[in-house]
Amino acid sequence: MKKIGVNVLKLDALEKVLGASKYGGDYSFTDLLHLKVVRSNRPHAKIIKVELEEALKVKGVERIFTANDIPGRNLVGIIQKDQPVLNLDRVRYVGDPIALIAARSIEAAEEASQKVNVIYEELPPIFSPEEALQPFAPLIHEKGNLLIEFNIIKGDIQKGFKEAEVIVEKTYTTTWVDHAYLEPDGGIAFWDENGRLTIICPTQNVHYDQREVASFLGLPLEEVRIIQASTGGAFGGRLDITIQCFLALAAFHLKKPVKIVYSREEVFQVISKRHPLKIHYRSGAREDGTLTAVEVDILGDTGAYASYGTTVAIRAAVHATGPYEVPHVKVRSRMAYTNNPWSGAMRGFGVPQIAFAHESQMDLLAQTLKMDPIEIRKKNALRVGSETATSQTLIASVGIGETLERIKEWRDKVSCLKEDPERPYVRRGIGIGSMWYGIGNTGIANPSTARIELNPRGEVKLYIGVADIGQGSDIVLLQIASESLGTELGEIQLIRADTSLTPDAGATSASRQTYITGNAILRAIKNLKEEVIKEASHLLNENEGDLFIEDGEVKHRQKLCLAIPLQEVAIRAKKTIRGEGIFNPETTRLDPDTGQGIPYATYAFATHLAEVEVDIDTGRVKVLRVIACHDVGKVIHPKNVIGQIIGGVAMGVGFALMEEYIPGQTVSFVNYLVPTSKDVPEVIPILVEDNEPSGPFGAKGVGEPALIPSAPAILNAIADAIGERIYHLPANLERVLEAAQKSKQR
Amino acid sequence: MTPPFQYKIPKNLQEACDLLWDYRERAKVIAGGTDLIIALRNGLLRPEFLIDITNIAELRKIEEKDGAISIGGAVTHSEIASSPIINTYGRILSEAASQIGSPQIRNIGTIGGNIVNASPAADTIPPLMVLEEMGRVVSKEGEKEVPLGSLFRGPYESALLPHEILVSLSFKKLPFPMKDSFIRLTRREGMAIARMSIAVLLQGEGNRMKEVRISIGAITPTPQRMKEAESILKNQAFDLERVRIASKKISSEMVLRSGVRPSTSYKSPVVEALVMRAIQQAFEKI
Amino acid sequence: MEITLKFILNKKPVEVGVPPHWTLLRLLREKLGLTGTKEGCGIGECGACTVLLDGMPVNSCLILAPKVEGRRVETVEGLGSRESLHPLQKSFVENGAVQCGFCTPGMLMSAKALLEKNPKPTREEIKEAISGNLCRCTGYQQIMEAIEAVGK
Repeated sequence: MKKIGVNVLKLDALEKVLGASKYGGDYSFTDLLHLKVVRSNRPHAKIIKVELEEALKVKGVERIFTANDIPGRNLVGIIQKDQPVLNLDRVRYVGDPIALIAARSIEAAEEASQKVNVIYEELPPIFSPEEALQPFAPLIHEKGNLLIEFNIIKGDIQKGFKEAEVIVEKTYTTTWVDHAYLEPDGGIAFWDENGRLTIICPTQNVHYDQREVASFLGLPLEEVRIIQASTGGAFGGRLDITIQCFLALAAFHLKKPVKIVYSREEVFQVISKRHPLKIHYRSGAREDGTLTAVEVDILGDTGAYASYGTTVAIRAAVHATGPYEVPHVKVRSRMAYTNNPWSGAMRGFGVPQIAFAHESQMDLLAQTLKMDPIEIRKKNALRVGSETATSQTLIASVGIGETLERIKEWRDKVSCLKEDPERPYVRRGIGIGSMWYGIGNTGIANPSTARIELNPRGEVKLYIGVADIGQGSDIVLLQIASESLGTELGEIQLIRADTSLTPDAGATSASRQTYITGNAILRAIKNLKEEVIKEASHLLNENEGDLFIEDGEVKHRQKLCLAIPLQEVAIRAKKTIRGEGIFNPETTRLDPDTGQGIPYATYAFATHLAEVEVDIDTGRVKVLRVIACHDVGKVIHPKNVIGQIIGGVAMGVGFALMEEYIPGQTVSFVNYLVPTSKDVPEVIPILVEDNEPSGPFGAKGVGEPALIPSAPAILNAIADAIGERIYHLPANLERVLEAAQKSKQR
Repeated sequence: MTPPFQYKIPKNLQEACDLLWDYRERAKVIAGGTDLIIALRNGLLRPEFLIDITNIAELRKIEEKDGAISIGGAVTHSEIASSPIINTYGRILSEAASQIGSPQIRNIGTIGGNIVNASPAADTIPPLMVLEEMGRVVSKEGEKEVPLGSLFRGPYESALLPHEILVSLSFKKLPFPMKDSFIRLTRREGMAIARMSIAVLLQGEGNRMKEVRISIGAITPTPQRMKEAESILKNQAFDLERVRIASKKISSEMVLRSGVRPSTSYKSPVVEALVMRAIQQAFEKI
Repeated sequence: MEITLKFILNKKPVEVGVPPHWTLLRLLREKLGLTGTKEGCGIGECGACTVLLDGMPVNSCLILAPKVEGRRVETVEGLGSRESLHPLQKSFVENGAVQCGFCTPGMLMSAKALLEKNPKPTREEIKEAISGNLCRCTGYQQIMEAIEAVGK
């Protein structure tokens, strides 16, 4: 393989280093109107009246829209459509949109937004899921405050605990985390020359946006076109509708180009967050460390709207055991509505939270049993032939054992001096964190379609609907196409993430694009090659059976000098030859009562080792180094994979130590801290390539797995350093100091 | 979005004083602007005039004169951090200046701005307090030299009048051998706001602490010297138990001045530990 | 009400009318069409808008336009061209230092200021120099490697 496993230059990097790449806010028109959203300042209230008169008097204001101006369905949502684009009679969180101002200048739009007067009647707000699920709690949505309850029942949990010789039972909590992608949401909308309402914006899924916008405007699908702008990060925050419908509504009515750019403060206020989860975890094991039972109760806060709450509840449950074989499993996972900011998708869909719990439990078991934390993990690690908590038998590419083995080699080399004679207040520790992560959506169809064509001009064009959000899917998918087609990378033109040109690839989420669209491309190319052979046989007057394709050329089995480049076939045939491929991973729907089934076709695995230093007088933690070992299947682009891993570790450091969105308090980057260059540890990435037979050239995925094991490893390292464990994320100064003091007192 | 205003760039102090005398509350002085622009953007201030004082030569100088070091109000944090004069005579200040915000902020933010903005967490203030800085305040009405501490009225509230300019700060060269320690506690390493910052200056004589100066940022509403703690240590032999008593004095002073807050249970033990650490570190340098 | 500003932008003199309350960032993006410089937060907390003012990295969101009168401003657009990339640009591309790319222009400017002062910086010096530039994608390591590679 020439194109797989090599570092080729990322396509977009050149434009980006030149500052030439266009993000949503970089687009402009001369006669542009600027949009500004008027939002609720109440967490829960009835809207009695929206007074626009004063705002309309502001010079430069063109129009102010309310829910009454929406021609189609005023509800969006990826799973449950419960989120109004503009609220008519009710608001459910501070930031809920009420009106949309269009003005000739940003200043006018802002001024007008301050002059819209909303008269509310307060409703009792609910700020915790426990409160929300009380009988007779005020209803946030008519159907009730429980968004979902999902259960996993495998084996006999009571029997499992009876067989256990040790039981560890603890409660873990996590908080809201912001994606903090660096580009505030911004974009434009206009009617294109073909009469299509066109939106250029950052997104993770152009086709989903198209469906929502079309239904919101009551337009046929083909009259809405979504083009992905260069997207300044996403991490799940751009899977939901953000600015699309605002742009659509204004452009629809005004027939003029419109633009919106959020401030950072607005992004913090209104974009989804990582779900805070409360996890009650009970594990049982035999004296030799073998897990006998795991019982978990998860309660999450989905906030005002459903968004991906259902997915997070299910995925957290499915992954609750960690990458370990457990014969008896019982998980209950619930999500409740509250009047908090809405939670949605964020890198890992609940798995980073549950991994913090299952990895803490593994260390606690090891401690109780006086076992090596790596040995207890190895003993229980999934392997080929293992049965997961949903009774899926893993048939290949289960690299968790290998990652543990490689980390063990490192751990044995790391001689960690617990104390520092120069600094008596310092304690050092090391910790292990492992994870597994199912690639693709959970137990539901999530197909991707790719199309490739050769045209009479000799061009090769690959059409994919995939949104590259910076991680580099464009180049990876081109590598797959180029390898399979036998052509050079530069010979293939990539047409991407534009609903009017590209087929639906589904979302850039769930670490799925390499695996799923990669496979779709392989199928498209297989079909294309069949068509090319047919054409070539016709052109050359040869039997189809004598022709075959190798290294980008049509060849003859006997006539060895015959070799025609694929492009040449289309040129000579004077027609466009197409191949289309669809791939949908083989999964089954999970049983609604027991959660049993095959949620994913394949899983990625990883283990991190973190070395930390704790100042026991202040609670300050410094992560010194992280060794990050990942089984991603076959690596297509090593630098991209390593980039994902190192970036994931940085995000994991933030999740572990400092990131905490506090509703009503967190406003900007002043009080929402993400790691800087001085806060990230040295990362040593190790790649384990346990090939996945169903993956494109053996590949799986890495985007989310990169983040998941870091925080658990760091938290275990802190416990190792100070001799006391922290059960609430983030492990900020206060929590670490409290734990250190507790440890001192013992 | 920043509201409109007129922008004036006086070339000398006289001109600046005249403008401020005329406009009073309608004007705001701008030096680096790193705090002011945020206040404008967030709609907290709506001045009609901004008076940019960064082109006034006197405000841009670091000087050594008559046994004192003077720093112009519009000198940037970067300039202080890299100034050989400050590094020699007020090292603790250059250390603090080199840790403020980010390189970008240090390149435009000024020492005068740090003081006038009066943030309790301002990083340069504890070092300035232990250096016993005096501020030179000039206005149309005249000129005065005041102790730094008197320039603060409350958190984010300066004692300067709208028509006054903080032209420079000065401190007497320290008697040899003064040793220092500056400890800054933050939630993250880069671009961080101090959770607390401790500045200690010590003059030793054998095992005795002849002179002790302590000031702590972000624990009291306005900057203070910790006089009671200082007097516990002054002219005494270095002794851990005594240092511990002085540290405890500081944490009780914090509670006295700031009241018991949700953060107190964290800050009390931490300030004690860090004061001890800072005094020990400074003493070990002797 | 506009004032007329004269300054050196990417080595060329410019004269432009601008309302005095505009920031340098807004002037660059909205009046001069240089959208390579990004706004990530508007309050100097992310570094995406970093440009060089007289060779020093500054947050252009915190610089009022009148402040650049007579001074030298450099943005990412002045760094290199498609035909002839600046060594830092080339190194960023080659070392995987670019993911979403939104921090990239500011990061490049901070790196340029560093290398001009200190052509062979240590890893710690690089960390310090880019500590005012947030990156949410890369974890900074490949960015630091890219800067280090140019310094070598």
